[in-house]
Amino acid sequence: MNLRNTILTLLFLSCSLSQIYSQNAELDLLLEMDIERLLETKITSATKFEQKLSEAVATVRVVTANEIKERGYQSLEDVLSGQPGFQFRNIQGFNSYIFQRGIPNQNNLMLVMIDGVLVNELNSGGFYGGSQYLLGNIEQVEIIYGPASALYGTNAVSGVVNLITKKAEDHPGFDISVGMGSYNTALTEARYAMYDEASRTGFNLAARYFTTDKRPLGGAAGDYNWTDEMDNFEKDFAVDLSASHKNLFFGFNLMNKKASRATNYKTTTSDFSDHGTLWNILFSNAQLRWELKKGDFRFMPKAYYRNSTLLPNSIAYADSASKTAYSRPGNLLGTDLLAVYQFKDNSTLTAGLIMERENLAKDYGMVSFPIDGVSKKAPRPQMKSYHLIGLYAQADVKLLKLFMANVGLRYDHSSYYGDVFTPRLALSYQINRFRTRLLYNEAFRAARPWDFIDGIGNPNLKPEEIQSIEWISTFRIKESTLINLSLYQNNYKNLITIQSLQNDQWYWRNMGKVKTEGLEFELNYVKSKVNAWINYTFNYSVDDKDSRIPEISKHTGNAGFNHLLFKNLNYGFRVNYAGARPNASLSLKPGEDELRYPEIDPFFLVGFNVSYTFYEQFQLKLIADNILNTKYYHTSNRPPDSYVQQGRTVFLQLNFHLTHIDR
Amino acid sequence: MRAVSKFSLLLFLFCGLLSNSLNAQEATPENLMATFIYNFTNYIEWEKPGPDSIFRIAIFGKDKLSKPLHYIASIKKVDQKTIQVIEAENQSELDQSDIIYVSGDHTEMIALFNQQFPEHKSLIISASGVGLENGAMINFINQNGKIGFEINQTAIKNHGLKVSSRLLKIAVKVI
Repeated sequence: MNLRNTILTLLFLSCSLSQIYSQNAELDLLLEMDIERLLETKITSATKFEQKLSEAVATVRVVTANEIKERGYQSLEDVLSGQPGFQFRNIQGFNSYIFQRGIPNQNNLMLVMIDGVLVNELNSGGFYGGSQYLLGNIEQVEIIYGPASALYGTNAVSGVVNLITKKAEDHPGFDISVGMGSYNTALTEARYAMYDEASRTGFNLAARYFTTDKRPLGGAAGDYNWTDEMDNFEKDFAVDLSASHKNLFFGFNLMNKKASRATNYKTTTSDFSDHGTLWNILFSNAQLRWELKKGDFRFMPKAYYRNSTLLPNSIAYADSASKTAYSRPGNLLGTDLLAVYQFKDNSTLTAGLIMERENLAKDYGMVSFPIDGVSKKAPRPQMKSYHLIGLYAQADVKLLKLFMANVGLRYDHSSYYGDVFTPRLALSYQINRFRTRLLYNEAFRAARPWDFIDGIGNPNLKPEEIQSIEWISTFRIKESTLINLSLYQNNYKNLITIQSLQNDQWYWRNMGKVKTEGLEFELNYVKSKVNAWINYTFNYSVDDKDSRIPEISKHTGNAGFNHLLFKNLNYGFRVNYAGARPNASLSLKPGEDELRYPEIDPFFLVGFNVSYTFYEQFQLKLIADNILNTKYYHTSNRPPDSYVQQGRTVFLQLNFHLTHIDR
Repeated sequence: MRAVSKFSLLLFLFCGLLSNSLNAQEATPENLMATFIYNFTNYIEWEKPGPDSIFRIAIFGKDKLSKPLHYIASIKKVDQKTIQVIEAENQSELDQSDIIYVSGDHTEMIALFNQQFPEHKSLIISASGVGLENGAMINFINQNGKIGFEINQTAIKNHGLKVSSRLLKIAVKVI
């Protein structure tokens, strides 16, 4: 039985098995909850519009502020590491790469947003992994699984991650956190928010400074890829500001990431130097949005500005004689005019118009200077403007009492990649504690102008395309236990991937077809004093020659629990497992058959966290990662064969929280 | 994928048999407010327990809360007392009630009721932007798609009721 038939058969079976509709079942559940939990329960009708549009057409998982805090997450990869469906290529350097649902890439198959505005780097289309995200100001992280171009346009191929920041009306007060730990890691975060109920006006200001020297990789510690002189640091600074007055919202985010580029190249077998490099990239976003509500009609226009600039003092690489500085600015101005109409039977019609104009660098600005000479800044490269018009519409239609159909279409017209239509279709069925959805989605990733010229260049790149069919089911057993199961099959065409040539040359090419079949299963248990989770992902990705796609493990899994012991003591364990996976390689030459890549060994990691709250406003927290000190590796698509990852780390953090309460 | 199919089939059989009610991450406002009202009985102390074995909840004004409150009354008790839900049509039906819920359209009635029965021992609950100003002791508000509540601690005390510190702590506003 193939996957598609399996999905249809199981859909039918499960619908048949969901029985005995109890009219008061919702009340039964609510009566099991304590009063604090009731306060967290959303109102069905009022949240109709606020619910993510994507929720009807994809699996959406959420990581809450509390989970980020409890588990001591310090980076975007940390946040995603406990979720099903994610694998990583952390090169322990200026960037790390996140693969969602089985396709390795340069972070350009997934979108990352802050409050709904993208922070993917404009020139490459790829977001940056790392610790520059202001996690102490995050209300929750929403993770959309699967293609979502029908809502978000290009690059929403594997999924979308939206970081929702804290709002003043929900979290007035003052927070400060300081922490330090292994590898000279230090963190300072502060946040202040105030809100006036009478005038419905407030603001929230937060800042973060994070620095780390990372695991020493010199000599044997880095498998002799680098010398003992190697430096490898990351220094991140971020600011979030939001302000609101009635239905008007303003948001501003700034992230500056400074990191060494030393791990990009082997230095023991090349002329590259592994110290004195710097990748200094600045992201800044601003948005202004407004909401007008008249009866069942809502109009939500938004204007936004994005800037991602590689600053001109960046040193992309150094050798024994010289250093080379890079710069690459990019900015974008856009509007999104969204309108929603809700019919009496809860059916909705959503439509929007997106207009964007972006200025991108034609190439890097570059300058080389002698290593002992005066430092130079890279010149500003030539810029070129592009524009995009996007039109999208979706209808959520209630069928009978228990079915909901969702039909959506998006049309994009870009001045450099032309016209693209992206449809989607979803059918949702809910009865009692059981909800199931059958989805068909398409998505695309247009090659960025940068892709056409990177390496030796390839002017014939086509957009990547994906067609996806997915079956998602959710069950709740009593109030405390939630089970999710997703089965999906994704078919990629024209995948853009790197092709190496001799003499360290490369270019990007359309690789052909890739098929991914997968299963994600998760079980979450939440009670007042205990929460526990376990998830498992099966992912099998092959190309059109039936060869396994490198860098992707077939089996991954995560589990953990947190327990509130006594009144103020919280502790927890978590484990991550990734099975063996083929490594990537730059040694693939034209004309050669696919290589049998060397495998990266499976690994099993254990983490621990404990926190103690005292005087109500102070919290002392200890986070230990990889406590078994397992030596494990990530894959590589760069000259080093593989990247050894962090060993045991310990981080101690002190938090102070002061809330204004009008009593 | 054969193993996957078998696994998922077993899982669905298991879960399908266990499923019997709606996902409570979301709930209708009337179900939520009715559950809150029942929960409040754990945090409010009535000075002189009623003479009989009935705990009375009155609803003044037509409201969707009636149905969920009747359901709760059919399966729950308050301090071993049977819950009785009354749809009151005039003020005289209210003064023997332990809890009075006043629908949004009749908030102004609260002040009149307090004037007419100044010694009453009822917990008055409303769901209105001006509930507390009109003399309600607890008022529901919509907070970004969730239900919260405000408490008029003075009014509760003046009518011989006691409110627990835990309830005060989680209230959105206490006056």
